[in-house]
Amino acid sequence: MRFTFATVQYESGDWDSAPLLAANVIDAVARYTSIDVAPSGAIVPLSSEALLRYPLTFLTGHLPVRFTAAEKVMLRRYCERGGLLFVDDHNHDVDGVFHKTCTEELTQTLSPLTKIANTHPLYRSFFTFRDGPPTTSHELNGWGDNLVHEHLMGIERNGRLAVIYSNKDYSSEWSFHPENKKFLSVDNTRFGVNLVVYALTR
Amino acid sequence: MLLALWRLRTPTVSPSPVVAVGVDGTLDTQLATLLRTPSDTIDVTLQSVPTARDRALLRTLRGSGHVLRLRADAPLVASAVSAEAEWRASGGTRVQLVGGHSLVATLSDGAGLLDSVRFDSAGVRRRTGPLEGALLLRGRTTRAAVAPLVAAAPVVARVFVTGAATWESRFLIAALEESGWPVDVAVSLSPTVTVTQGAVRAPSRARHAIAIVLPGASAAAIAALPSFVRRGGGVVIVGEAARSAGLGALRAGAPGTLLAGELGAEAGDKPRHGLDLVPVASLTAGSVALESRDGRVAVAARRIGAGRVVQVGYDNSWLWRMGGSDDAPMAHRRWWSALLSGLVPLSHPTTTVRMTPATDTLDAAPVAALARDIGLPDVRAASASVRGTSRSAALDLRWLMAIATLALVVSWTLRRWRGLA
Repeated sequence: MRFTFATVQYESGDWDSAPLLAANVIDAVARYTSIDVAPSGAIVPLSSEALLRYPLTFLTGHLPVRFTAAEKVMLRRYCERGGLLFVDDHNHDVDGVFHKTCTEELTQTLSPLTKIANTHPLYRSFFTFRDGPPTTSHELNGWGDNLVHEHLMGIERNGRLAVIYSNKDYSSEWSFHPENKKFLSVDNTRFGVNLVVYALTR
Repeated sequence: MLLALWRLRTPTVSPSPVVAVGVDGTLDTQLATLLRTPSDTIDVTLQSVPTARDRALLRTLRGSGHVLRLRADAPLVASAVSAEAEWRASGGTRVQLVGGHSLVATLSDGAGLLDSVRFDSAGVRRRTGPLEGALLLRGRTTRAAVAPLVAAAPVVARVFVTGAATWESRFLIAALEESGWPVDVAVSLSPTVTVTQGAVRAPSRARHAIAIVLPGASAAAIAALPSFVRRGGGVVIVGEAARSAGLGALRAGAPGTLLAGELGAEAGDKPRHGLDLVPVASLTAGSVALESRDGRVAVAARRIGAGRVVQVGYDNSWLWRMGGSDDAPMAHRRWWSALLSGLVPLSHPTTTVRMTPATDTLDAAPVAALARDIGLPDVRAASASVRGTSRSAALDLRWLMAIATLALVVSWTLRRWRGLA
């Protein structure tokens, strides 16, 4: 059964704010690894049993996040069983509406988020990122606070990361057509490969 | 003489002793006492199946010339049990039981009750934790006991997992580690990148007890498997890996066409119906089917040299763990752990047991050997199959003949003296 990149659809907010991200990550995985990856991604409702068929899922948005009761139940079950949810704040804010509400919902549903050390195996699961999570162009000169976020945040279950939370705005960084990678001196989607490989091997 | 002749024609009939085999399976009378009984016939009332020792005593009585009349007030059912330690992180025992159809019995050890069982014609298998002392099976009219086989030396039960990086490899490794199995891993991500855990890329009998081969396993790992299994290692071939060229001589059967699982069935009471299946289409000679689904062999096993190979047709058992019912993660762990436990080679078992199975759990009729080991005098036979010469009658005759001879000699001597006088 091949690996399928799945984007989570939730009731509140703009879950589909980064429609090109899936194709870019899929392209990177296919380009650098021999992982059998489905050529197109899937969209799966957070409240649906189908979520359990995708052990790695992606959630993003700009707007406030409020999980429904059904979404909370399914998210809890998903993480307990071994699923990994990668959340990225499309605003890359520290105290923006997505960040405030989403971290609150994750804390209430699962447990408080803690910093992921920059020496975590996630940063060397395929490519090596010696300084932790790669900085995005949107952090350096982007929209809001001009603040570089040093760490990703996470929630663990049974010794494994069940949630990876980012406010580095990879949703913007990876939202371009994969064909345009040839214009980049360094492929900035390589960290996406690390995320997928970490999910498949840990 | 007349007295001797009369004695020969009408031998003395002593009343038959009545002995009983009690609820604990033992005779209530000493063998020496029974052997001295003057009666030809011994009535034996069976309240339960005699123990192996007392069955031997009854055979001795029969062989000494006594007629045994066996009687039981209630139907008796024989039973037998075997127990073998198997590898699990917390310790474990694999138990096989055989008994009469519909027999209900309890299983206990020195620490107390373990389980209750109802037999059917196929026998019963159980997996328990480590046993405290002997394992005892008790039914209303039967009992059996055995001390489990244990290995003399600690067993190396490390598992080696190899294949491509997939959800199946990820969740299988997780299930094994959560069950306490030490696991080495060699999972390929690209032609030049392999993720290892344990710094090994091929299975070795010096380090591993079991090798699990997933689709995408490296040629080097596959090439090491034939000698690995011949030297006692266990090999598990999973799903599409059965099509690998290097596994043709090892697999339990040719893989068939992939069958899609029933959507949503993984959450039901038959979760493995929801998994994709590469059936074992035709079993190799000597292979046996361990599990079937809809008439197709899903899991099969065979012996090769000192080792064993199990071919698992399920291609994505991780769906069961993720999408199954509330106890699915535990059930998934237990299923894989039980499969592997049967493959761990126990070295040099030393404990003596009463019932010794000639075959192991992977054979087609594992309990047949136990059934053969149950030897019980036929309760319905009212007389012994062998009737020997009555020892007491022979003894009487010799004395009588001696007396008669003496009487003749005395009589002749007296006549001679009268004649001389």
